[in-house]
Formats: sequence, C-alpha cells, structure tokens
Amino acid sequence: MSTDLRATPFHARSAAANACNAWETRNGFTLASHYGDVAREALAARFAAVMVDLSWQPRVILGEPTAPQFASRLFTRDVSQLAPEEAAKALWLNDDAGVRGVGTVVRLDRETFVVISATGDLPWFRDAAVQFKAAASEATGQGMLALVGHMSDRILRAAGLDPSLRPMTLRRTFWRGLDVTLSRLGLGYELWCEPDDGSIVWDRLVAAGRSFALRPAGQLAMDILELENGVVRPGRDFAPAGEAGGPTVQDLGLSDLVDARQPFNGRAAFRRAGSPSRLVGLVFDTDAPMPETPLVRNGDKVGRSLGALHSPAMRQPIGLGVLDGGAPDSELIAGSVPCRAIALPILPIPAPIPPTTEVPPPPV
Amino acid sequence: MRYDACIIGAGADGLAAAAVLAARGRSVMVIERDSRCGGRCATREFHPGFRASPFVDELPAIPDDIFRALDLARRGAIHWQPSAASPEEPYRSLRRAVIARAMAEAQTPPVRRRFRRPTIDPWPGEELARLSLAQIGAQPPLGYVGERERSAVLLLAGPGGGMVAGGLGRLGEALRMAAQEAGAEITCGLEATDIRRFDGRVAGVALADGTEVAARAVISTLDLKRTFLSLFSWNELPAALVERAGAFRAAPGTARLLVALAAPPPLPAGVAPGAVLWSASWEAVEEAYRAWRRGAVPERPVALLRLVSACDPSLAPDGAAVLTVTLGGIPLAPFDGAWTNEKREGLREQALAAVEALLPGARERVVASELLVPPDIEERLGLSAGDLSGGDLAADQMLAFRPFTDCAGTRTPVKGLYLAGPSSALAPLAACAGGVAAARAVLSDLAAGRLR
Repeated sequence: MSTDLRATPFHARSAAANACNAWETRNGFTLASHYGDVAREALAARFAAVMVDLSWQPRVILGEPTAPQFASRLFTRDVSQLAPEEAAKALWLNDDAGVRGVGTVVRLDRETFVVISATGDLPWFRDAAVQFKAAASEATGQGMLALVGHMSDRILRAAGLDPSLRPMTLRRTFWRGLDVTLSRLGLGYELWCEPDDGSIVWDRLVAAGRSFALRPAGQLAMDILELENGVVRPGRDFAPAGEAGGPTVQDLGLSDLVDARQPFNGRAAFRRAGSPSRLVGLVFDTDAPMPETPLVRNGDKVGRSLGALHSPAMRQPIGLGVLDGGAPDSELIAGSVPCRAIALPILPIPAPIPPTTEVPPPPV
Repeated sequence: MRYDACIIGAGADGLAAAAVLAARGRSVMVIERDSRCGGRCATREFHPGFRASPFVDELPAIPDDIFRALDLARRGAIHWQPSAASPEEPYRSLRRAVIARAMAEAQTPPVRRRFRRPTIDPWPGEELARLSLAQIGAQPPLGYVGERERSAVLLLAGPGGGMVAGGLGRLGEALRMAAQEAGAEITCGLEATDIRRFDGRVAGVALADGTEVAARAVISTLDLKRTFLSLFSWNELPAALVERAGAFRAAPGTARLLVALAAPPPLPAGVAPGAVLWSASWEAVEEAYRAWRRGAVPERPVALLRLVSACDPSLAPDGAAVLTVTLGGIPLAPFDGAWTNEKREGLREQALAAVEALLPGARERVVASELLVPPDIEERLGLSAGDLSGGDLAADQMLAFRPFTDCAGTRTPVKGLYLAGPSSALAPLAACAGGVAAARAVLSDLAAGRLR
C-alpha cells in the first residue's frame, strides 16, 4: 500500500459537499467520513437513497489464458464457471486455511477476472499467479460510486440508465458519451467510471436524484449499512490471516462461501478445522463489547463476537458474531453485556419499490 | 373464553399494550372498530399515486427501551428526525423522568389507606406548571395554539418521534405484527359498546354485534370522555367521576390538508428536507386561540407545512411531491352551524394561501388536495371533539393531574379498568408508553392477585 494520500475520481465533488471537513484514509485514499451527520446518512438509505464513494476498494485483475484455472484454485468457490459479467462472493485462504480475504470475484470476459475486496492482497496474488503462468495486477484509478437505498432504481432510470440488472451481475454501457459499468455486487448498485469522468457521473446522479432525496453519505454510514446487512469486512470485523495461521473459515462463520468439492488452496486444512459454524447478528442491550468477546449461553461458551457499532435505525448497538452451534434467536451474554443472536441480515436494505403511476397533469 | 385482558382500540398504545401482555404469556383480545389497525398510525393514498399520513405526520417519540423490546425497526418502522431532536433539553430529560415515574407507579401502585389521603411525591416537571411560557421567554412551541400566559408544562408534550419511512402506517403495521406475533388476538371492524361490571369489578366488554368478551382487566385506549361517558351506563359510575370526566377540556381543534403537487417547490435555504415550515408569532397564535374560543375559524390559522416527500420520496410518484398542512385553532363546530362545503372550501383557500406564503410557487403546482376538519377526525378516529391531543395540555390536565388525580398514571377508580389512550398521563409525552404502562400495571395486578 502506498503511503501517499490519493484522491478518488469523485474527490472534487465530495470535497465541495463535505462542509464539516471530516476526512479519513482507506487504502491510501482520502475519503469523506461523513457529510455532517452519520446517523442521518445511514437512515437516508432507508428513506430514499445515498451515494457512497467506493473507489478506495482495491481491485486486482487476474489475466492471461490460464486465469480461469488459476482462479478456480485460488478461491473457495468455482468462479471459472461464472459467465462473463457475472460475479460471486468468495474467500481466499492460506495453507493453514486462514482467511486472507473476502471479496467479490467478477468475470469480465473469458480470460479476465477482477477481485474487489477491502484488502487488496496484490503481492500474494502476484506470487501465486506466477505458478499458473497467469498475471495479477492492480486496477488503478477507476471510480466506483455505490447507490444504496430503495429509490436507487428510480434514480438510475431518471438519469437515463436501465436499472434492470440481476444481483451479482454487471453491464458495461455507454451513458450519454461516457463508458460506464453498472453493477449490483453489494447493497445496491455500483457505477464504475473512468477517472476523468468522476465529476460528470456525480453531477448527473445528483441532478437525477434531486426529486428522490438522494444525498451523499460517508464511509461511516456505509459501515453501518454493511453491518446491518451482515457484510463481514476484513480489517473492520476481523484481522485477515497472513502467510500462516490466522482466523479460519469456521472462526468467521463463512462456511457458506466455501464449496468443499473445489480444489482451492488450503482445502486440506479447512477440512481438518472442524464442523461449520454460523455467522449471526447480535443486538446488544447496552454498549457493545470489544471484538473477540466470548458469547456465553447458560454458562457455556458458544461463540465469539466480531465487529460492532451503533445502528441509528435499530437505536441500539449491533454487531456480528460466530456461533459454534445452535440456532439464532437466542439470549446470550457477551462479556457482561446481555445480547440476542439473530439470523442475518439484521436489518436488510429494502428492495427497490416499483415506480408508481404517472403524475396526472395539473388542471387547466 | 375469559381473557386476561381486553384492550379497546388498536392504536399505537393498544397494540403496544397487547404485545407486552402477550409476550408475558397473558391472553389478550384487542377490539378495533375500524377495519384496520393503527389508529392515527395510518397512511393512505389520497390521490392516485400520492400517499400521506392523514391525521399526523409524526407522533411523540417512542421511548428507546419500548422501541427495542417490540423490535419495531426490524418490523419496518424506521424513524427519521428531519430537524434537531425535540423537545430540547432540559425538557427531554424531564420527559424521560416523567415516563420512568409513571412506569414505576404502574408496576408498584401507590399505597392508599382508608380514611387517609395518600402522600404522593410530586411528579418530575411539576415545577414547570407554576411558570408561564411568557415567564420563561419561550417562543410559541411548534403548532401551539394558545396564550403566552399558559403553563410551561406543555413544553414537555408534542411530537418529536420523527417521520416513519413509508408513512406512519408502517409503524401501525409494525405494532400489529409485534402484538400478533407475541400471541395477541385482534378483532377489527367491531365497536366496543359497553364495559360490563360484576361485583364492582370490570368483567368484560360488550361488542356492537351483541357478543361479549369476558376479561379480568380492560385497557381502554379511547379518550377519557368516550371511556367513562359512553362505555358505561349513565347511572353506573359515581356522579363525581362522571362529572370529572365531563369537565375534561379539549384542546383547540386541528384540520389537515393533504396536497398533491406536480413537482416539488424549491425549499427555502437552510430548511432540512421534511422539516416543518411555519411562521407563527405570539400575536398570530393568540389570535387563532381567541377565534377558536369564540367558535370561529381564525382568519389566519396557525399553519404547519411539511413537504413530506422531500425526505420520503416513496410517498409521491416520480418527480412529484406531497405536502401536508396542519391547521391549528379550528373549531369542531363553528358558531354559525356545522361544517358546510362552503366553509370547507374557505378553509382550503386559507390553507393554500398559507402554503403560497411559505413556499412561493407551490400553489400553481397543486394537482389535488384533501381536507380533514375536526368532525372528520372525530368520525374516523373516534376521538371526542376530533381532538388529536386527547385533551387540553393545561397545567391541571398534565402529568399527575392528567386526566385527573384519581386516574393519574394508568389505574382508574373502576377496578380492573386501565386508561391508556390519548387522555392518559403519558400520551402527550411519548407514543406507546401509555399502553406499556397500562400493560405493566395489569401484569403487576394479575401477579399480585388484585384482579380476580
């Protein structure tokens, strides 16, 4: 990771909107933490829609004709079976089945995949690629703006983009003079654009979203929305593994992202690591405990907590946890804090609402 | 079957009470005269594609512990505060203290000894009752219609719960789910006509279809007058109680105008989307109050505007907008006779003039509008005098004096009858809290054997 601070393609517009000058750094990029009120930005996604700059997320491109074989050995799901413009969530593990990363693997064409994750892990991908005569490189500079909330499809339509897209797919399109990619890989839509087009894309969305209460939201609001939707992010909710050791799939309750028939790196260790555990949501009565706090039911340790923060929509602290066994919807103690385990997502972002009827003309 | 509790009215208080009782394993029946649950927690399409909450845009805040216990967010009730939290400190802390006090009394009734008046500590906030709004230099509270010499205790009351995503109907739906999933039974479309008594205690509720629901306790979420003056035979209750209920005063009435706009008008600078717009001076507020006292529609009604679709665009079609106007100081029955079409049109004109004054350019965008005057609210919600606040917020009708001292908290002089409606002590301060207090009182009395 570079130590120089970098600006995303949306920085100029983000800076103009960031009246309280609240900035933070992620992956070397300067980003708005919030635009004045974290809670309202998180809630706005549930009333209308928000746009969040995700250009900081590292994207690693896997190329060359051997890339499909390489990718199918690298990830815990067989991404070589994806059709072009389809995507899947997957893990990559070290030899001890420690989780190095969680990300979305997108197949751009027959020989090219792009891995989007919070932790890039480029050196490791590069070293591994050598063995398969494949190539791994970082995609730099491209802007990625997420549009989250149940008004997002109406905003896209007002902006002249066709929002009909299945989840975990993308579509490259030409948008009034700009080459953009529209995808549905996360909580809503993502719009990918060339670095120089960032301001134009931002302005077009702002103009289209004016009558839909669209507002920009900072990274902290996105963290809240992700946690409410049960998204686990390395670096925030757990410390990713290095070359050896580290949290296993079972430690993180991510067994759903593993296809054990797949010959992925670390499979032997994964099979030895024990029975699957379950990722659950936790809602706390008072302050959330630190990550890695044991979860106790009737005096027995049944799991541990991961990251937590305050949810303005739920009006209480929420978090993620891993249960070794047993069903959610049970009362637990995390450290000294009573909490309740519930199935994920804790509070899903509502599905887009179909557009309503045409506006009748005003009486003459 | 004899229920542990029968709840009259499936509004926010009634449903919250049902959820709390049912979650503790008590059998509960809720009776609602309307065809749907929620009471004022309603959202309706008033013009094709345009939706609004017809009676109010927001309720007083639901206390956090109740909101969490009923899991309302996961049931779809997401709240949004368009502007700074109201009321401001120190009134917010006082509000919490009052709720805590009422809840404590619901769980542990004050000991009353024969031939001795109970010594009850004053409720938090009662010191405000001695001060007037003018004395503390307060600006007119949002939507207030009255004189500046009125008691400052009303600063504890009022809305502040915030708007609900998709309209207040979503809150009603979330509360219904909370009650039904806990195991409460709800019967809609049937009106409760009488409260039956046996051996000096409440024994059940008679319904409009001639059936009866037997119950050990009855929680009424109707207002005070409907509870005591229409649910009992005229000679069944002590004369003093009937007189007291009859003397309970209503607050100045409210009218609502729901407006469909072809396009959103520009908001003045600095106004948060969904925030209330109004421009009331003490002179205007007092003038409207005097007009209401004489039974006249004020020349300049106190108007609160809210462009609800600016914060919740799901209420309007693409590119259009929904505006609500709340008009204060509107009489239930004007001195010159009932509400006629001409009078309604006159009020609509006044409201649209207020809209144009506060939001220039809005008037020409109006596609349709619907007006609700106090008799409409009275008929649709079953509220005496169409009074949404359930009784005047005067010093002698607030806190421990609301609705009156023998009824403070939630227990009433009628054994087995609990009051949780808009006239109860907690109603102006917090939504659902009155219902939860009543449910806790019933649970405590059932456990202690005070209800047979």
